[in-house]
Amino acid sequence: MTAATHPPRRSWHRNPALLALACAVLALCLYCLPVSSSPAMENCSTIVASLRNSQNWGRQALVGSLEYGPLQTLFLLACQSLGGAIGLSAGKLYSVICQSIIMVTLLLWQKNHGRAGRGLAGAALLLAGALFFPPLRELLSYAAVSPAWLNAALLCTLFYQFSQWHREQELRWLVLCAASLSLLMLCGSCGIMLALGCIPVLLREISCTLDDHEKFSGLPTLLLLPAGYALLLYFVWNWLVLDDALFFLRDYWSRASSLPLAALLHFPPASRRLGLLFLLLAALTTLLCFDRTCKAPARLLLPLALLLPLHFHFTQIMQVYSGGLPAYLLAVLLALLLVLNSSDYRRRQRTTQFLLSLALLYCALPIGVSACFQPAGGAPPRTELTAYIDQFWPDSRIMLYGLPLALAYPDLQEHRFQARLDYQEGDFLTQARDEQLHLLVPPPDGKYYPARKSVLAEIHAQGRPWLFLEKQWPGGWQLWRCVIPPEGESKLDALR
Amino acid sequence: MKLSGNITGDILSPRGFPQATLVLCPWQKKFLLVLLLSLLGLLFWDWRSVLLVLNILLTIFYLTATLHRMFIIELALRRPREIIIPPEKFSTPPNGREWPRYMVILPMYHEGEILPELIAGLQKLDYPTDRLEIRLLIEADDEETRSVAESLRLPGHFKITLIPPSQPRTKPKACNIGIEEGEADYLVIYDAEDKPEPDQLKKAAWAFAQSPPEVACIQAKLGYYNPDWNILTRCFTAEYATWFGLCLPGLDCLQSPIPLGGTSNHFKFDILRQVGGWDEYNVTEDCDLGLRLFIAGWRTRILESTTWEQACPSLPFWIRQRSRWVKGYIQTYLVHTRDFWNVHRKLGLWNSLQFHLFIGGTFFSQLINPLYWLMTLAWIFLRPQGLDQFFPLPVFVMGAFCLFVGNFVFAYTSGIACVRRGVGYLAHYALLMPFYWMLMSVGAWKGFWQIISKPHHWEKTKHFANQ
Repeated sequence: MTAATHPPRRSWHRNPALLALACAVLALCLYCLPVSSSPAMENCSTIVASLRNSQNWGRQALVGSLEYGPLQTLFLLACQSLGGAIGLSAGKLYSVICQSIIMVTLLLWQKNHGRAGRGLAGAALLLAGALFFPPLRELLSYAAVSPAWLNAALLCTLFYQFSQWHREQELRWLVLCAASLSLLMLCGSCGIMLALGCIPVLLREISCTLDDHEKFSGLPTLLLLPAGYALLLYFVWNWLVLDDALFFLRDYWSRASSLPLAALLHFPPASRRLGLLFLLLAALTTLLCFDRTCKAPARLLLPLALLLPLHFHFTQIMQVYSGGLPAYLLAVLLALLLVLNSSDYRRRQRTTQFLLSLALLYCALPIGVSACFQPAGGAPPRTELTAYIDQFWPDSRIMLYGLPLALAYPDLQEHRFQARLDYQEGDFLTQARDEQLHLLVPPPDGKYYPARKSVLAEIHAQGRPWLFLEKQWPGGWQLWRCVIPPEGESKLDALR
Repeated sequence: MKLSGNITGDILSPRGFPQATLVLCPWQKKFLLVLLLSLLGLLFWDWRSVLLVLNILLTIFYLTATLHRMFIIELALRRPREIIIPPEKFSTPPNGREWPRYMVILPMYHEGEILPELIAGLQKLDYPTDRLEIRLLIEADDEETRSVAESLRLPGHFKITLIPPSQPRTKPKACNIGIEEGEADYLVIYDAEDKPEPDQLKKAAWAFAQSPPEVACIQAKLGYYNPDWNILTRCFTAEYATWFGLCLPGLDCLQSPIPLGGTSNHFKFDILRQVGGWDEYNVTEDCDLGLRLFIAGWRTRILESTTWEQACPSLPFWIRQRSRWVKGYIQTYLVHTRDFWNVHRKLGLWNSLQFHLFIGGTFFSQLINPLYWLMTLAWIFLRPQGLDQFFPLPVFVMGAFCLFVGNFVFAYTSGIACVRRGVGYLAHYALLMPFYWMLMSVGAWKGFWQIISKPHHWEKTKHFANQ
């Protein structure tokens, strides 16, 4: 019997329309849950608003920031366009779409790869935990609205696709893995790190297959090509928008290189707790790697368990947004799912797995609040700034450099605040000849710009010959006024 | 049964169905004239708005083509529907008594050099010779091929059919004359350099037997046996693998009209005659026939069996071949849109979309690509003032998607197709596909020029002796 006469019947979980419907229903339920937005999502929304208003810094932030990857910003933009039309909150819509994808994907994984009879128990356990166990609920509700959910959703689909590839070795699954990797690459530093961590595992799986079937040659190319292309896009876009192909790396590089060695070894409390958590996760995953049924997916989790805490630690000490929390939640969830479905019945191993899982859950719970992203604060209020300037220089424009500063003073019309991610002295001076400019410089504490090897740190310390320090706040914030008079406003113009 | 000449007296449909005797029918001429004049007038009146509207339309076209390509590739990978016949079936005929009568036709012109190799290849076909007839269709004035054929000791089931010289001198005309006489259940056409898999005829016979009665044609896959000759053959192999390994199977999944490949089309003989055979004026008669079969209610399926051909290794000859294909696609598109409403009514909305995207879109994109490449290069390197006004935000977003995602998807699918076709070592040539597309556009413009200057000229593909 061939496909010509009787096309194979497709079960419900292979029907994309039904899956989309399930996703939609789930998203609707999740949308109705009372959750609040996170500072990271607020920041991402500010970038999107700036993009919608065709502001230059929005375009620069879209491609030149590793904190909020291009895909996250574009996805939020799409959610705003879609949700705005029907009066939905874009951030919430963004998160629930990602969460629904995760839940449906996990359901599919359980259906296709889980052990019969354990899926329902696992789902009931998760639901009970989410609804009745207050710390877990708090953690989930904290992480509910965050741009980093996209990383988690892509990671989850990658996990599922990889499991499918491992079992069926159909080309389609590898192509989908490659697509997920490339999309992860476009999700900022956390996404890049996750993708780079997964690539060796996937390549190893392919090389194992290659030993058996020579016809699979070309698979490494297929896997790496989209991810490499996505990485290349960063360079191209940065070159096109900022005239500097390496711009997106410069902020991280300056921050990392200006960190003293002691700072690298200093673990803030959140890092310590997360480190402990990931040690547990790594131990559990290593144990699962020896399990007969789930060793392949467990191998994919292993690099995540090792890289996520490193990334989290580095972003904490560099004082940038990590975006790893949902991915970390997902990694814990996947590890627990694998434990639930592991087939090893040796008593000692089962007990170790069980104890590790309990410890993992116990450690996971308090992380949510402590690991949350705190945006750089301490900036003088916008009204105070403008009121002060307006006393002597009404309508003077305040120039802001760097993403955190642009996010702190959004001005869609750019009447009073004008932001850029790159500091171009020539452009500043040219603009100063047209209009009166002020320059706001935050303190060099590493929150708003790298504490060292940065032009703003230099200005903060030494100023510039054409800048006059008008005001300094107790926290170290400085307001400089450009003393180059706009053309036609100086009494000395006649002498030129 | 007469399958050539002017029977009806109608210049547009000399044999009862629309043929490419004329490039444009009267209303198409008028329509194009009015369109061009209106465009010129509007450009003169407000060139900015006209260019903006044109850009919007072209960007939407690119976006649709990109999404369509992604969709059919996903279908081809997710739901492969090619007919697969397991070898254990070959021991018995489908009806359990005797194998169906098969006719193989081989149109050839100046192929004396490769004829012995061809005959040797055909003798490897695993099919009972008493149920098989192989017809070598040789132009009567082609002394070279004729003398070589006559000098060979051909087995009894081979037959030389001489095609009397007449206009147009095209392959489809030779095929039509070649099948006016004789009887068979099934017919397949091969090119002179083809190397079909020996069991292909048995597979096709089984595929017909298993398929619903409306399946009148089975297209075997085509591949190249010489991918490693040079970069051109490697890219050409990747392109062919995409077309036959992903695009056509994707169309098969959608049960849409399939533009047949030039060879290895297996037909139900009586139905082929019933629909009038090939259009001798069309230089991609296979594509036209695939559409005509579909419109007449017949269906085409893809068979998992490969005929190995020779990828043209010479750039000038490759461009000639490409120009003929593009010219033929334009002819086919124009012929089938003559009866505009009727053809859409018969095809239905979904299949009409496939027709426009696959037949019209293929040549159209090759023609307009150079314009957009130049515009992209200008945007990147010269940053001209004023270009922004033609790209308002939604158009820019669509354009950027096509530029950064669409182009990559098109190139990447070549890599997927290479792996799927078993030539995975060529997957990295997907990176060179953009340069290959430029060559395709050169061929497309040559074809476009020829449709005006020499619409029925057959740019014959030269076949090279094996290295």
